[in-house]
Amino acid sequence: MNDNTTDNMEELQKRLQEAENIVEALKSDEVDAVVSKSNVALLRLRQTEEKLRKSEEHLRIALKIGKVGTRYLDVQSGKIEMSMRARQIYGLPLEGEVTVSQILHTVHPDDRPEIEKKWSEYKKTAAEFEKEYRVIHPDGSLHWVSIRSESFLDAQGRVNFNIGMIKDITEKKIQENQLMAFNQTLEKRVKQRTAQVEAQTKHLRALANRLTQVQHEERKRLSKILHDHFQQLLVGARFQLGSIKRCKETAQIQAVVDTIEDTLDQAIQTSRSLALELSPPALREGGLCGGLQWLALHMQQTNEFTLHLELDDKAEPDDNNMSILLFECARELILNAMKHANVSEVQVRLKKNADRCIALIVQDKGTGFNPDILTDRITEDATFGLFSIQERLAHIGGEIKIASRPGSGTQTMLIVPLSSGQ
Amino acid sequence: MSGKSFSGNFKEQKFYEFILFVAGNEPNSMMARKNLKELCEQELKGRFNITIVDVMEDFDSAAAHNILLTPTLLIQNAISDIMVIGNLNNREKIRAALQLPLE
Repeated sequence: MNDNTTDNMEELQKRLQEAENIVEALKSDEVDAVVSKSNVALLRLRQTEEKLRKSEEHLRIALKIGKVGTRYLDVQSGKIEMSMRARQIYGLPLEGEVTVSQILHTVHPDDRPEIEKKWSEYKKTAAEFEKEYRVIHPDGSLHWVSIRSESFLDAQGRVNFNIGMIKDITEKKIQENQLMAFNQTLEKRVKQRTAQVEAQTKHLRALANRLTQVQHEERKRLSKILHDHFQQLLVGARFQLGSIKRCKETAQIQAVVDTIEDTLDQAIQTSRSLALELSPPALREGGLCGGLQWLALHMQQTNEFTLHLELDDKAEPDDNNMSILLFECARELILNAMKHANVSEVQVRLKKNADRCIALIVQDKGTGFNPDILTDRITEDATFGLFSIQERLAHIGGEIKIASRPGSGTQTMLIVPLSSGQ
Repeated sequence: MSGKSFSGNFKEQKFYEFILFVAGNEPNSMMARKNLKELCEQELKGRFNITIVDVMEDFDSAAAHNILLTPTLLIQNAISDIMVIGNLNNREKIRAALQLPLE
C-alpha cells in the first residue's frame, strides 16, 4: 500500500468512527437537535415519547407497589380490559376476554345485587363509586376487594368509558375483624370484672354490717352469761356470807360456808367454761385436730350432739392462724347443722389433697337446702354464716364447695392451701 | 494556541480551546453547558476558553464545523479537532478526549 492509500484508509476509518459516534449519540437520550444542511430539527418528539414511557412506567410501578389492579370498561362496546393484578384479585383467568357476568359471578351472593345494580348504572351516570365487597375465588377462598371507579363522558356528554381501581384488602379486613373481636372480648371482660367488683363490694358491705351485728350479739350473749349465771352465783355467795352473821351455832356456820364454797366453785367453773368456749386451749396446744376433738367432746357434753371425726394428722395446717380459721369455720358449720338441719350428729373429715391443699368436710343427713340462696339472701342468719366463711376463705386463696338439696342432707367442703403463705 | 510551552509541568500548562454547539435551552444543551463549566473550573483552572454557539441562531457556524447533532463539544487542536457528542454527563469520556490523567 502506498502512502495515499494509507491516508485514505485512515480518513475513512475516522469518518466511520464519527458516523458510529453519531449513531450511538442518536440512540442515547443525550442529544436534543439534528443539524442538517438547511435547518435545525429539534428532537422534542422523542423526548415527549420518552417522558410518556417513563410516566407509564412510574404508574405501572406505583400500581404494583400499591398492589392495585385496574379495570377499563368501554361503555359503548361493553368490552372490558383488566390488568393482571385485577384478574388475580377477582380470581379470574389470567388470559382471554373478561365479561361482566364473569366478574359478577365472582362476587359473594350477599354483595352481588348492589354490584350488579352498579354495573348497569355505569352506562348512565358519571358518578364516582366506592365500595368494599367480598369475592369468592374458584378454589372457594373468600377475599375482600375494594373498588373505586369513575365514568368519563365524551364530547356529547354520553358516558364513554369507566375506569376502576381494584385492591385486595383481605388482610386489612382480617386485622379489622381481629381487632373488633379483641375489643368486644375486652369490653365483655371489663363488664364482667366490674360486675364482680360490684358484687364483692355489696357482699363486703353486708358482711361489715353483719359483723357489727354479730359483735353486738356476742357481747349480749356474754353479758347474759355474766348476768344470769356468773353474777347470780356471786350475788348468792355474797348473800350467804351475810347470813353467817345471823348464825349462832358453829354447825350452822359450817353449813353456810360449805354452800358458799359450792357457789364459788360453780362460779369458777362457769368462768372457766366461758374462757374455754371463747378460746379452747386444745386448739392452741393440739392444733386443728386437737381443737376439733375438744369440740366433739364439748358438743357431746353440752348439747348431746355427736361429731364423728375422721382426722388425718398430715392435713394439720402449718400455720396457727389457719388452724383457728378452719376451727371457727367448722364450728360455724356444725352449729348450722345443729340449728337448721334437724340432726343430732354430723361427720367431720380433715384430709390432705394431692395438690398441697387441705380439705375439711362437714356432712349431715339433715333437711338440706338450695345452695342458690347463698348468693341471693346473704344477710339472712342461716346463709350469712356460709357467706362469711366463703369471704374469709377467699381472702387466703381457699374456697367453699356446698352440695345440698332440700331433703337430701348437706356436704360442705372447705379447701385451703396447706399454709396461708402459699 | 496549543503547543505553547510554559514553565513547570508540561501537562498542567496545556491550554484548551472549546466550542460548545447547543440548541437553545433544550435540556441536553443546558446540561452540556453546566457539565463543561464544572469540569473546566475543577480541572483546568485558568487554562481554557469556551465559546458557546447556539445553532438556532448561528446555523452557519455549525455547518462550517460539520456539526450534525447538539450538544456537541469541539476540542480544538493543532493537528485535528476532537468532537464529543452528547450532554457530557460522562466525565470520563471527556477526560479521555482531553487526554487528562486518569483519576
